[in-house]
Amino acid sequence: MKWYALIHIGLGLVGSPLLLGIMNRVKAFFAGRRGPALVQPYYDLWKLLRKGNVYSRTTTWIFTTGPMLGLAAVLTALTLMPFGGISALISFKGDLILFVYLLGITRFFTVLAGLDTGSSLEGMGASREVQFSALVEPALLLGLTALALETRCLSLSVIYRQMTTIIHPSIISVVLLVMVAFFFIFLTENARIPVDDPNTHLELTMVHEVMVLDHSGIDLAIIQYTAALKHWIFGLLIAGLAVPIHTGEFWLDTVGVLGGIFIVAVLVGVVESTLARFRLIHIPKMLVAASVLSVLAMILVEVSK
Amino acid sequence: MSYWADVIFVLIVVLNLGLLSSSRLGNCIRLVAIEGALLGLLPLLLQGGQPEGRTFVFALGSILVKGIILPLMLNWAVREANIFREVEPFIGYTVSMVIGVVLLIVSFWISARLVLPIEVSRLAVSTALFTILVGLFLIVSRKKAITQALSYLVMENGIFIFGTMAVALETSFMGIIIFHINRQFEHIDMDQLASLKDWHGTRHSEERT
Amino acid sequence: MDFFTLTIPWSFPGGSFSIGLDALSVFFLIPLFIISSLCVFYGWEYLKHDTKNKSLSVTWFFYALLVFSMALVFMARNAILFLIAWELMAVSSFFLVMFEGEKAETTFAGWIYLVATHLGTAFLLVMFVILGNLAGSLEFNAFSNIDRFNPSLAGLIFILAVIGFGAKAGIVPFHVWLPEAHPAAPSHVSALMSGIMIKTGIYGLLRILTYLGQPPLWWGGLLIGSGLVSGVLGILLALSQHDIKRLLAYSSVENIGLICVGLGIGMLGQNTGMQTLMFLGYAGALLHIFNHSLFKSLLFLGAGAVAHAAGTKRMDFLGGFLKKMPWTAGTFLIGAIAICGLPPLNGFVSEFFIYWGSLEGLMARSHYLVGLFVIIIGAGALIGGLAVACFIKTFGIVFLGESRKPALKEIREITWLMRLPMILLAILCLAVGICSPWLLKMLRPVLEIVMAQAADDMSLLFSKATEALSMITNYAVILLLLFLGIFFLRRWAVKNRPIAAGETWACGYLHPSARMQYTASLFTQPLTMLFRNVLFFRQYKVLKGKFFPQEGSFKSETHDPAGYIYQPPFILFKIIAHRLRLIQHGNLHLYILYIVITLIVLLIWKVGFGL
Repeated sequence: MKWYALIHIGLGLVGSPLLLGIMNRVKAFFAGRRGPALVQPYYDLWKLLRKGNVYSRTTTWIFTTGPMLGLAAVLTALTLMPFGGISALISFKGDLILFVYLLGITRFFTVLAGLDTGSSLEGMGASREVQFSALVEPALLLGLTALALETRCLSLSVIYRQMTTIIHPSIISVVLLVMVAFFFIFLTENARIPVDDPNTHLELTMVHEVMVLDHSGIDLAIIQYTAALKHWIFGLLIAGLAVPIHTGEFWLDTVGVLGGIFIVAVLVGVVESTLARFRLIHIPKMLVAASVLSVLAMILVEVSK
Repeated sequence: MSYWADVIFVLIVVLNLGLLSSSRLGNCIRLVAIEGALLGLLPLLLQGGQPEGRTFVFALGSILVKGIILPLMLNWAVREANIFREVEPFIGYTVSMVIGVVLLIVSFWISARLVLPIEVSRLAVSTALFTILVGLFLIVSRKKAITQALSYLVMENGIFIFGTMAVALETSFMGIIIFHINRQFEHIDMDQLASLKDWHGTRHSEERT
Repeated sequence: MDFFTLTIPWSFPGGSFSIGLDALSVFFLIPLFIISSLCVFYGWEYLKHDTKNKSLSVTWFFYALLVFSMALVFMARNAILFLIAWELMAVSSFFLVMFEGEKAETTFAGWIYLVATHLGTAFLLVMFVILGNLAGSLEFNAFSNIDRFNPSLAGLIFILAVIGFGAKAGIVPFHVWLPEAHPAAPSHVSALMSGIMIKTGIYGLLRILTYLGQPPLWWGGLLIGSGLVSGVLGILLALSQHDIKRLLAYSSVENIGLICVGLGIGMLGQNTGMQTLMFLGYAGALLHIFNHSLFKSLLFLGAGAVAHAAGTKRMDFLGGFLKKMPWTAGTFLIGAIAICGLPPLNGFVSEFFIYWGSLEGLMARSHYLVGLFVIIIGAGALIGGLAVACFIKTFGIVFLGESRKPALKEIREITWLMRLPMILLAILCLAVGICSPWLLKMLRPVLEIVMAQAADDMSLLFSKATEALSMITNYAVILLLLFLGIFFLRRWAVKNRPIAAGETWACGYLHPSARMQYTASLFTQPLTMLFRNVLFFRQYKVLKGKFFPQEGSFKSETHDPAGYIYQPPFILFKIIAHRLRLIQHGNLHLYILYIVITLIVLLIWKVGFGL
């Protein structure tokens, strides 16, 4: 157990809503507005925590338990995630499989809670979400496999540590390809444009938002916090690759990766502001493209052996 | 230096895969243009050390023609015929992308088997083969005339890569391909292109409902 | 090898009643006894309502016969005994399937099942004959003593085994009987069939493999290939079903595919000498066999309870059952989580091993192997994602929301007699998930048999695997603790807040009706449309009225592509059989003439050519 990783987990717990704030601010900048404060998501969460709840008579215990299980799973996944080159709290061989499946739990229960309301809107969001997740899982696993193939290691922490020490131009293409694939996955898993619009409330464009329509009060707070944590985790996946610094100094590395995550957030904000949401039938194409990029990365690794 | 060449080859592969999955003609033309421009840079990089004067001229010429002039011509043709999207192709876009990966693996496999007289990077040969295969695939699976022309260009790009390893072939191939493209458009004068527009126009409105 | 044998002399030529118990047999006998006994309790209550004019004693007789024959299959040490037990198993399960034989679809299912199982048995017969010739006797001991195999002969035996046993296990394209037979049978029989009977096919394959020695590369490749095809096709077809039990049957096909992938990985490891690969592949496959029997039986029992209570199996008419049948829903949810392979339940452990094995395989030298493992990982992840979609759909549509059709009859929770088996199975799923390191220890003697060829140093592999599994258990505990922590925090936070109840808001859509909810086919429509070329997806729309919609209807269906393979040969067979009917004209004199002619011919042959 690496105790200093607790600092990183703490950073994640505290800093993840900040990512949402950064994205909103960037979008506002592009729209010519001043935009909400960077810490607005914290105020929102606090407001929700103090509110009461309204439950639909159709819902059951799954409606309240679902978000909690999702949050528990994401927190567990956070403990597996290495911070750039620095190891995670616990790591073991094959932990990347556990990582992917923990995120699967979150998805499973969020969608199930959405179906619990018996509304056709939420059913629609659930069915679209489930379609995307079925395609995201191979993409994510193939991306991680590409990294595993390159570094010949099977644990997330060891992979990321190796990636930061091998700064060789020949693997730049591999790293870039996997990063782009992870970026596509980030956009899909976190329901950002061009996959899904987090600000919309039109039936045409909702995927993730629509599943959580009936949640209120503390349940909604849990769901939003889980979403923020997922942003953080996927941001770490990308930033860990993008910031190839391993000075050995703990705090320097931490700050470097933090900077990386914030840059990822800004980039996502830019993408959200400049692109329109893709037509729904084009999104599977994008996810297959993510898998294909990972496969291409693996071919390059094999060729250079 | 050869690292940059490798990066260019990887970019070419990615561009080809993008070409396979794109349904918008403007996008396709842009992708082929970028491909052509990148390939124009290639001889400069492969020369290594002191690039000679004529290599500069050649590179500049390639970038100009493939990156600017030909795309402009194609865009003009697209606008005149008023077609902006590909009609539903024989093989769907997502499936094309997957087939593209298969073609990529095939080209890598073939390049591993080929015994070449000169010392070349395996990545280069595979990319060249892949580009040619993608061009052939596009001819087979797409229906529009513009895309057919584009696939000739793509094939030419592929041969160009081979050509940078044996420069003499290049100019002759370029000539042949340009001749073919010309012939495609020769006997389609503006009126007939316009009638194409009507046909595709009605197809389009059918699609939209 | 066997730690228990019993041989009774038998006058059957070539056969002997010799049974034995070794670790492999015991490994399969354990789930057999667990599930069959639990299903008895369930079935007792389940069938009570169907007494009408049927004699229950007949069906219980065949049930007992089925369990007995399966036990015999696992214990038989003689080829003739094995085949007899195999046939007994087929026949008794046929009669069990035909319990509701008055319905046309049940008879259809029964016949398909009978034909399929006998076709498979034919291949097994040929295989045993070849093995018997090589070994000089039909005893399994003799088989294991065959030293050198002609490689092409070994290959032939392998192919025959894959076809013969694969037909019973449900590997594509031999699976076509599964989605017909399993839904038609009463639910406790379906649970038994899907839980254990299809595993007898895997057992047979494993047994034959232990006799065949070092597997060449293409064997592993073949198993992996057919496993992946079964997996993807199975789950895609499961996604598009409207009927719960058919969906579960196709899901069984998918899981058998995963087991075959695990076996194939093990064989590849055996061939290339990569010990970790061999260990992980075989261990993953064996664990998945055990786990699948647990959660699939659980799911079938649950589905049966729902179908029983509602009177229909079509998911599009159900809904909202969680409120009326809380125990059924809870255990079904556990089964669904387990089959999706989510931690901390047992499904994750076996899938973890298979993925880990594929990741280890990436470190191989050969580029082809690396490519194969990449395909396994990608396809495996796709199968996992689709399985999640499928079971969210099943659980969500059946148990959540509101009932889509006004209650056909009053829906009540099933009795405790039917509930207890499901609860026990659910507890077992959780237990296996958390106690996996200990289970692995118990798996050791089985693995020693299966990997007999090259188990040089198992302890190192075992310790690495156990370490990983205990990490997973740690994580499972962390997950549950976190959940409990959040649960109590939430309890405390909501204490003095106003909580109200109301209609579903759904962004202001007033008064949603139950019929407006998403249906099963609609839920998976994005996915079935994506894969429509593979699924032979058809939609039938009848929409009347141009400006003001009037009554219309919509129907969508998918067809199993494998069904199309069998049509030509069977049509040909039908034509031939039709022609041959001419012989059966009912004329007694001509029949006697046939007999006389045959006797005379035989006499001439014997006397003339001295047989």
